[in-house]
Amino acid sequence: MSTARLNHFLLIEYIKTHQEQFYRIAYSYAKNQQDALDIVQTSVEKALRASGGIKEEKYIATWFTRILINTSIDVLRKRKREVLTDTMEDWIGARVEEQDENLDLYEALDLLKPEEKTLMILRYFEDLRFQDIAEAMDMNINTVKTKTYSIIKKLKIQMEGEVIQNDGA
Amino acid sequence: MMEHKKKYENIKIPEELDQMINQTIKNEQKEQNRKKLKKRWIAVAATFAVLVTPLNISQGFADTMAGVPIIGQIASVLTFREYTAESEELVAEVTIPEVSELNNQAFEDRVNVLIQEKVDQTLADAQLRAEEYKQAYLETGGTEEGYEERKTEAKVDYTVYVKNEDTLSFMLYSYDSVAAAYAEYSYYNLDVKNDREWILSDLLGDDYVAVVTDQVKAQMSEQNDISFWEEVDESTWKIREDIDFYINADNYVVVVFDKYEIAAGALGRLEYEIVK
Repeated sequence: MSTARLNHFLLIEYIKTHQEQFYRIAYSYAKNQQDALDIVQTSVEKALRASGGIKEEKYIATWFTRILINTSIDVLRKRKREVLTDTMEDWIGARVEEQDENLDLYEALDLLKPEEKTLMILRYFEDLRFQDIAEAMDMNINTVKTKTYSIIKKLKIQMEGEVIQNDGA
Repeated sequence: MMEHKKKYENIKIPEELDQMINQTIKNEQKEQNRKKLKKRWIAVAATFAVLVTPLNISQGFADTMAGVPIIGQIASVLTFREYTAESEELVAEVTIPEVSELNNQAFEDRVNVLIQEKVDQTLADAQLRAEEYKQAYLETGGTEEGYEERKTEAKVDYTVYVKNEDTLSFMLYSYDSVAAAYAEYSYYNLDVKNDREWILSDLLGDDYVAVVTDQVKAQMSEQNDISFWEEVDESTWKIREDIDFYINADNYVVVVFDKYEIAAGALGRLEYEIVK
């Protein structure tokens, strides 16, 4: 079997065995089932069509992750344009109510810019190494580290800020 | 942050996910099979245009028709031709060997046509991959300018193993920068006295499959760092009838296995000299 075909089969195998992981990542962006499924489906289509771009077997995961992230951000961007309406406000309102319990990292994601969100998902939910994140996001590893630490700092201030406010109320 | 993953892990996986994935994979495969034929022809046509234009338009365009004989005295002569081909997605450096002065003109032509066809096909494939790569690169956030810097480079060249009054054995190889994994190797073993290609049954006898299989197994068992990989059942394994081979300077057959064919990919292409 040629290596191109081998990589294609390895990709299919990778997709089948990691589909739940893809869905979780997509859902963290989309926060609803239909969009999350759309994101996963579009990503799988893109990946299968471009499987010739896989250089080596070991890069399949980061390569696919990159496609998934870009698709997620794309879908999110499109949706934002479509509906910045009541539902959006309801949704923000609902979230604020939840915050007094405790704002955990998963909810805090929505306070972040897409790129920051990606870093947090890959690092703390998918437990990727900085090296792999750097490859998936096409960034320098040191930039990834610096950004990650500064996001954590920012989130800490926000989370603690909520706590103090609640105490005072 | 101890429990930071809980909500994430608890994201409910919808039942339809699995079916959707399978269906998407199936559809995509059908679609690709359908496209393949059509696309291939477009790519071949594009490559032809690419190859021909520079030669006609500009004399200075990196094409050197270098008729340099490698060895002149004996029955056959091997010359080569170099050129650069460029499309929007790909830049290729090509060195093609050409045989000449064989006894039989028809045989000579046939060999040269075979080589040319092989090179054309290789470049067409590389072009297709470069297009796919570019498309994927653009779809995943890359820019046209960014692609220009990482434009796919392809190379076609050859190696001569032996050249004497009986035999001309050489290999044409190609690779491109999209993936080293796409490297291709074609072997040519010419019986120059009889104007035909050497085949293994001539060189090693009709039972060459058994002969080569035994020797490969024996040689491999002496190599500490190389062994069959798990997918191969050594007791029943035998070589492909159309195994690649060349003839070396000592006039021995050397069989060549593809990467992954018998052992771990990291070991690359394994070669075994078959002693008669």
